[in-house]
Amino acid sequence: MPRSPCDTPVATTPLLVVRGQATLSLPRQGVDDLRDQPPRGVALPPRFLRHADEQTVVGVHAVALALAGAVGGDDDRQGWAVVAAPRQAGRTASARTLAGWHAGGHAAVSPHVVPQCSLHAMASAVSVALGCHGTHLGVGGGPEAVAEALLAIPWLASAHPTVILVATGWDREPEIDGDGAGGAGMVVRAIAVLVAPSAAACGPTLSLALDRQPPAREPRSAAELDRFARLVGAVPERAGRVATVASFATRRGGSLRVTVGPVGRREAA
Amino acid sequence: MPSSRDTSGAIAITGVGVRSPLGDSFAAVADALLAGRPAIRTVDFGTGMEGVRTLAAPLADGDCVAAVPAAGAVGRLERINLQALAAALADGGIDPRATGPRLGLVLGQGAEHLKEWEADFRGGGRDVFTGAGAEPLVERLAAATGCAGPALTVGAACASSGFAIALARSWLDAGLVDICVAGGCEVLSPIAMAAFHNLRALSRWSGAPDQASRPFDRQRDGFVMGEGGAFLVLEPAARARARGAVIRGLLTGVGTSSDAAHMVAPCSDPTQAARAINAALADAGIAPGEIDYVNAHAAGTPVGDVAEAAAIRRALGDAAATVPVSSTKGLSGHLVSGAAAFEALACLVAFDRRAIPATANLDAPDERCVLDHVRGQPRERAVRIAASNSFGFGGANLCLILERAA
Repeated sequence: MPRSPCDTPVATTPLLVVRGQATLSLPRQGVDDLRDQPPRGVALPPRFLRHADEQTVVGVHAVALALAGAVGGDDDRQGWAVVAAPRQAGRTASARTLAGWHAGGHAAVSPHVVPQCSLHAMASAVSVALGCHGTHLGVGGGPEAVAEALLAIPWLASAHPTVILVATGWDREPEIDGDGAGGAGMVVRAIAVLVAPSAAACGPTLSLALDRQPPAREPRSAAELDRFARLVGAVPERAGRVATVASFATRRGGSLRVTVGPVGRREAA
Repeated sequence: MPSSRDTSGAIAITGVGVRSPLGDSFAAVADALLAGRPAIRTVDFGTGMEGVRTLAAPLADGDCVAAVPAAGAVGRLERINLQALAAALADGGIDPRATGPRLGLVLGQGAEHLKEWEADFRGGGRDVFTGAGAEPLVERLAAATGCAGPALTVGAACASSGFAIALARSWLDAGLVDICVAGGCEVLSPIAMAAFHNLRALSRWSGAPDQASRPFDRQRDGFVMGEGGAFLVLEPAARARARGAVIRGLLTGVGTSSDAAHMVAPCSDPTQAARAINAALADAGIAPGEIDYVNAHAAGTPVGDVAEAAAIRRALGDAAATVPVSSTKGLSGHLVSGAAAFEALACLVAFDRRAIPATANLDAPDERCVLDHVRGQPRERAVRIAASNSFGFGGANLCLILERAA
């Protein structure tokens, strides 16, 4: 069906190759159990995740899973970039901190709260854990964090052989108390994707288009991580043909459309 | 800069907006930077900070740090960022509603949620316990100003607003937007003050408050927090010239790297910081000897300043002996999320006033920080190319290359 002029994208990005992907969902108790367990294939410093936010713990482990299944491209991680998109990261530690400060003043404030609960923290943790000396940054922080992270990918992919994208969030925001407790039945989810410029690797491709129109099928209120998870799950099975697998709302009703395409040229050749 | 240098493909800075301890306009900040009077003093943070000497650099207009937020009121974080953003758009002559979806916004903000939960909690709210809360700050800023293009928040700790500028440039280079506003502002708060104090990152200087922030000095003992920051309007130079915009400077190079060393402690190995500086020089296509000024990140921390001095020497090689270096944090304090954008603005001041601000309180340079320090008085110099360093917790390194418009 022909596209109307208003369907013309504002901009599109070069193709990206998906080298690997993984999803991980854990209940809160499972997250705490993972704090002292180094992910398979990753040598973490002792107690590295002891003070990390729950989303960082699950995010680092999801990245390790994605690495374990990665194909194609350069495996020297030193030059890789990291972009992390948590949602309301650090809330349990912040609740503990604020309640402690209220009861006991400045002495009750943990020195870990800024370095471990800020937007950059998960990206830094992945960078340190994997020895990635490329760019790393946190993006978003709110309910549309995944779309914001995707908007950062073209910059990073233009200058790095591989970019690690990890998006995390509680499945449903838990009610927590002043000890940071709560959320017993809640799940922390993480989705990790490794992407590379199409000239640097082989595999299914992704492209991003910034549209003027809102997402065609997805209500803006739909859970963003669900859509991203579906996107990630669709990559291998849709690799043989071009298909739009997800749209993310951006500002003023526009959208970021993600398209999966055929395998990159290197593999095809 | 050789006269033959081609910067036609560069990104122009056509508007600035600032809220800072040194003033709230380009001219006020320029005057204060060159006057060399630190804005640091003892600040009342209200209850909870008893027994701590709370040295900080609050906003110049006396906006009260300790005031308990009123329910439903626009918080300080939003208000200060909105003021600087709106000022940048006005300075650049940008009407967002006329520009439409080709106007982007990138906010550098390291810990938006922590600050907003704190403000809500101090006002009697429970957002931190329930997970409820307002729209993301960048959404509110975009809505309030009418910026209708892509908008996102970037966090890279103390380098956040610099990474915002870098990302904005990539959007412009990729044609995603025609104009992009980037930057960010920090606010002082009791929790941030307490957390950095307990981390032993803050200065515990017992002398006069305005001497507490001492980048590169032998007696430095930590940084002093400040608040505020800046937003810059960025657009392709050709577009700026075509619309007759005033070009305050050009962004010609960006370099980034990660230490991948530690979540909290500064990295004493200068390798990656030097790599970011070299990457920025290469991106701009200039040699180290062409730099007229380095605005150092130097926050006055014992390890960080030594590492940065080593990184500058390694990156610039022999030229390091003659390239003037200063840190403006001795005057403004460390604006954390807003620092990088504010310090990019300090480079624009050097272009405009043909003078380099001096590092305040640099009475006796640390022998491990040997550089061509500008200290005591500003140094008169027709600055054409400046490098601005920013380094953040978790090892995020950034260098921006800025050039005076021809």
